[in-house]
Amino acid sequence: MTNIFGKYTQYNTIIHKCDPRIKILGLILIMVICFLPYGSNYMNQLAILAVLGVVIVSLMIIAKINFLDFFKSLKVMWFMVIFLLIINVFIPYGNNEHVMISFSNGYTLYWEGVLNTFMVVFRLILMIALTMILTSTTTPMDITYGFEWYLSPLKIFKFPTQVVAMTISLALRFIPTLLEQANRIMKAQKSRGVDYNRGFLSKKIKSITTLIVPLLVSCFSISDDLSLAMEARGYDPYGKRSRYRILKFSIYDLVSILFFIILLGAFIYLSVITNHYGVNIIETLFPLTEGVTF
Amino acid sequence: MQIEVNNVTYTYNKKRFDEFEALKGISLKIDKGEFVALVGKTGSGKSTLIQTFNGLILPTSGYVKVDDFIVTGDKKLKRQLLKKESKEVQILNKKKAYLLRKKVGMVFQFPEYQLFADTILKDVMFGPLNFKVEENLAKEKSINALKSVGIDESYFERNPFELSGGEKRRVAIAGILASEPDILILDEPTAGLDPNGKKEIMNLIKDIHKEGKTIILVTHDMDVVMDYVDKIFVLNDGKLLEETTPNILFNKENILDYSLEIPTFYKFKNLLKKYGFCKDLSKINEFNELIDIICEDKND
Ligand SMILES: Nc1ncnc2c1ncn2[C@@H]1O[C@H](COP(=O)(O)OP(=O)(O)OP(=O)(O)O)[C@@H](O)[C@H]1O
Ligand SMILES: [Mg+2]
Repeated sequence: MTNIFGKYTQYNTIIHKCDPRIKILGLILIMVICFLPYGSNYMNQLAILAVLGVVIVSLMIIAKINFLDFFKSLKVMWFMVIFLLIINVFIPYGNNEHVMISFSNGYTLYWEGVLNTFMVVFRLILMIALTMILTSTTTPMDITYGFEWYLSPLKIFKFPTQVVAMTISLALRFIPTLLEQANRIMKAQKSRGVDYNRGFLSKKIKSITTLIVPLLVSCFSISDDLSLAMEARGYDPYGKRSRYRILKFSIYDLVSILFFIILLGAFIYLSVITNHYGVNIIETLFPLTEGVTF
Repeated sequence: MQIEVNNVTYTYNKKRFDEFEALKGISLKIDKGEFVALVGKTGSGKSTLIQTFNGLILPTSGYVKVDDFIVTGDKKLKRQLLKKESKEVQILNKKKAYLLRKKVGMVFQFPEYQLFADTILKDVMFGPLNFKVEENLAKEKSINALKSVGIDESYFERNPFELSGGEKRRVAIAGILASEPDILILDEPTAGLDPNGKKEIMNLIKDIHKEGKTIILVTHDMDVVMDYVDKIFVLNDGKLLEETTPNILFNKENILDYSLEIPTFYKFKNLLKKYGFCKDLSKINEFNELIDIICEDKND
């Protein structure tokens, strides 16, 4: 429970030093890249996703992310994977050619459904990896500053950006505290004989309530105390606040902006040529594979 | 020997940037029916150590043996140790490891955070039911436990969240007692209580001890240690510094080096010495003896 994803790690890599605003922008751009359409040829799509995977894994290595933590945070996905698999296989769409099972009443299941699921899941894994890169290289404070900066145009419409930013930063700040609290409560309940890992669904639900109820209770008491403490120190949600850390652009930031622009450009190009002109990249790059289409 | 701690080490967040060795090779033994205290300054590893006693934390190396249960995170060592044991012990360790938690009752610091049920009685019954005690019997045990911590019958159907802090803590302790553990471990049970509440809780623990149960107490309150405890283990920086009794420990010349608070009685004794009281006080360990000697001195 302590190794949950999203915990800031204190290294001094290039990605740690980068401006949070750029990291947020980069995160969003790469997420967009992940979900661009890359034509209908499965080999092409897989190849492009693999390239993206390599890019993101290298980013993770640069950011010194603990891969063990990463795989642990993927464990929660299995339920979604099964759900997606069922939906994709039982509701066929697009061009389906490879029959998996054919029922007597003419209803057929296709292998393409499985492949589609795989690609969606792979994209989701990439998203988790990206979020993990952001949260483990940027302090919650910096992430909030970043968001606040992006929200600042809304100030024209009298949108209370500081209040939103403060709310986000408090929420982020208290994630580790709540995890610690959850860990403590779990230990106390384990001492009373709860086994959180075993048992059937009904038993699991019961054991989860023994965690959730005390956690909610302490959540409310923490937020109560916190709001009083903030008021006692003169917090005014609409007042102007100065800040300790001022964000400044540096050479790293320029390099990373260029990196993102080139990356985005390249993948948009790929998307356009595969999607609109139907170019088969693999065949174009390696003419040898001609004829071996999926 | 009821609890045997053998060269136990424990590292938090192993192989990560923030890894931290909290226990650095601790060995100690606790007999059945003893009332022992674990003391030491903040961060010395007391809470970590006691959590190995009921298997919430598995030692990185070394092992803890509680009766027939073997607790260690070192799989190879565990296999070796189990090989030597009888068939029943092997089965106990493999299939019924959860019974260790019944044998060793653990009351955490601020146990009031563990309450969750909608009535007090249900919350207390939760433990015994988890250990597969039959419902009626569990109810009976819970009622006894609640009465022993001084919670009145009229409270049983109330919501635990409506209670005061001290009452919540008593209900939480009853929740552990209801499973009838042989060993009771308490992590700072008196933290944040008023003097009366403190005394009540400590007397309750003393009564439980009288029933023949082993008590392990983690505390920063040396007055409590002096008044209730037979044996002390002093921890420092993840190592066992010393195993003594209260009288020996507090009479030490270099007691200040241990960064422990000095009990009121010994503070008073030291003050007497400082202001020129010339009789030998080193053998005096109780208030009545001290009063006798002061009266004698006055009469002389
Ligand atoms: N979950 C954890 N992750 C990392 N380090 C921890 C964790 N829990 C405790 N530690 C570290 O292990 C050391 C021992 O902690 P422990 O809680 O056992 O101390 P303690 O003797 O109980 O202190 P206190 O008297 O304050 O309760 C401390 O230095 C602490 O920082
Ligand atoms: Mg502690």
